[in-house]
Amino acid sequence: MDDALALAFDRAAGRCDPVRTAASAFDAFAGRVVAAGRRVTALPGCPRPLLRHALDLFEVRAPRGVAAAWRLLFDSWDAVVPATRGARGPRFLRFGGRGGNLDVEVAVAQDEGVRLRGTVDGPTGALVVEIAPRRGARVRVPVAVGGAFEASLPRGTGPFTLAVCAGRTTLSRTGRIPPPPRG
Amino acid sequence: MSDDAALVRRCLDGDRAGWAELLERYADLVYGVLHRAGLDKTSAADAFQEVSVLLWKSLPRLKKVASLVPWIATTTKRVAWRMKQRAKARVGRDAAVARPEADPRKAPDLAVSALEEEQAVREALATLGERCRRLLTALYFQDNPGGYDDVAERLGIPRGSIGPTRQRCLEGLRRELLARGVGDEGVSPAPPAASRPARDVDGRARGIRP
Repeated sequence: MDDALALAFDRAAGRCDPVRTAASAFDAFAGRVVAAGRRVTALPGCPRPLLRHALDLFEVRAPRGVAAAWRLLFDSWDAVVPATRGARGPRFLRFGGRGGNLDVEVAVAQDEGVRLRGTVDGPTGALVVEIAPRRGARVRVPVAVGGAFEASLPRGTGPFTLAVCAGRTTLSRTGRIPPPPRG
Repeated sequence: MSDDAALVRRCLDGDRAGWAELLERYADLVYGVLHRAGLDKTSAADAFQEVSVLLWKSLPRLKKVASLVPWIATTTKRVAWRMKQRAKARVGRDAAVARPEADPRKAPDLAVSALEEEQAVREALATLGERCRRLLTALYFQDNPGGYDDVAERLGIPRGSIGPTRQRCLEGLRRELLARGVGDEGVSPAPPAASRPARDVDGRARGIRP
């Protein structure tokens, strides 16, 4: 059996003449395995940064008064060489954690402020997204039935955080998000 | 309880290492499906995160599933399809969008059963260890395998040791594959139990003789 197994693999991989070697019961098995192995070898492996982001989905401790801190899971700029980002190109961010996730596109508005568009997935009910900039007043915008929200911040407000609130309860909060670079 | 079900339990019990192990086990499967779907790197990264989030959210209802492969494969295909639809819509709205919707060189789609077989080969090779993985890949899993002398030189092993090592690695590979439901019907005898149990969507052993 030992030789038969090796011979079957040799035949399947084209390592020996299939006509001059006797067929064995292992042939079909070896053929399937060699074909599957070649398909696997031809595929790219998963890049490590993607795995690290996915690992962060695991529970994180929430700050006091907040039900859950949502971690950054995806940043479209991670995969892009800085010089090719384009000063005015939008940045796509995904945060997630216990109870759901939040996708947001951060871009420079026409008035040089910050334009935010995104969706909240997970929490239900009447939700509000609260944007807390380092400088200036907080901005609260309602979340539509489908989970979408849209907001803008005036120019010069600096980094900001996003929080998803239901009534007076803060369900989740993101880490600090820097404003997009202008021009 | 199957190996996957045990891993899901560990995740639900708050074991971060379990979640890491789960991701490590299936990351290449997910990424491979996204690559085959023709997504560019940025879209594939986005889709990978979406699949991870969906898996994370679905853990409570996956705790009794014997194998996660069909769920992951199907979910990943669905996410890839949605991603491509979104890209098409974006291109439709704004022809100036530079993000490519798909790679025209994309490989043909594969049935879930073929993806299960690929995953079984991945896991079996990982279980066998680096030496066997490199040798079997060099001998059988590359499109243009060189001669034995080439392989010995490339891997830095004596030419004379290839035969015995190959035999041991092939037997291990067969044993591990049988344990994962990739059977060699009609060949005897049955191998000893391997490190992971046989897996099937319905929890039945697939392609394994009793």
